[in-house]
Amino acid sequence: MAEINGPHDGGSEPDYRFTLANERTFLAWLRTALGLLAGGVAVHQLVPDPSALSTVLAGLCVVLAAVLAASAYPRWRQVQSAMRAGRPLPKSGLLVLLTAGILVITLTAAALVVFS
Amino acid sequence: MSDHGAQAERTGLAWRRTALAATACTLLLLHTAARRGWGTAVIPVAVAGAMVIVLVVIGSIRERALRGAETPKPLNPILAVTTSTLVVATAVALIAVR
Repeated sequence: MAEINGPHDGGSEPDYRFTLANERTFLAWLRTALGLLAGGVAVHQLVPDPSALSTVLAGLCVVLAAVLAASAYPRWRQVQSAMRAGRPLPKSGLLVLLTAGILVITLTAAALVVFS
Repeated sequence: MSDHGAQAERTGLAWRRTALAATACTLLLLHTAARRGWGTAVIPVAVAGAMVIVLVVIGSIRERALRGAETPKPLNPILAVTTSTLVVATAVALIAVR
């Protein structure tokens, strides 16, 4: 079998249902990133007296959003290639990253509530 | 397989939902810019506005492609890259301006 480089090379075309499901997953990651962006902006606006901690909280949201949005396309591409080649889907650190990120954001928000 | 209606519709709706999320984000940024005074805060608003336009345009191109009678084609990587790049650009603009 030829080397598989891109989402449209080698292997055989996967069932369109899986192709479209992969596309929706990609869009869901983008939406998660957009939600975090909106959250970051909202924190920055809604905290009555902006402090270092509220800036850190807003910054965390925006940075996590950037990381998720940036890894959405590589992930889509990897899954597409794996499906073409009939390989198992690649492992993803994205979910762990998202969970850890949300945990840190929640703890920061809690600290903000306690210390302000 | 001839019946792809539900899959295509779900995917089309996912594009629209994403564009809607981008619109909400842009409105929040616009609100911030209006409150903090129009200066560098305009940059994230401009990038976010571009993101909404790109998501709506690409989403409708995609919806039209999916609605066709034949088996749906996979997403063009260029469209995927363009959309995710704009989301990242908005985040970066926000960090840079903050």
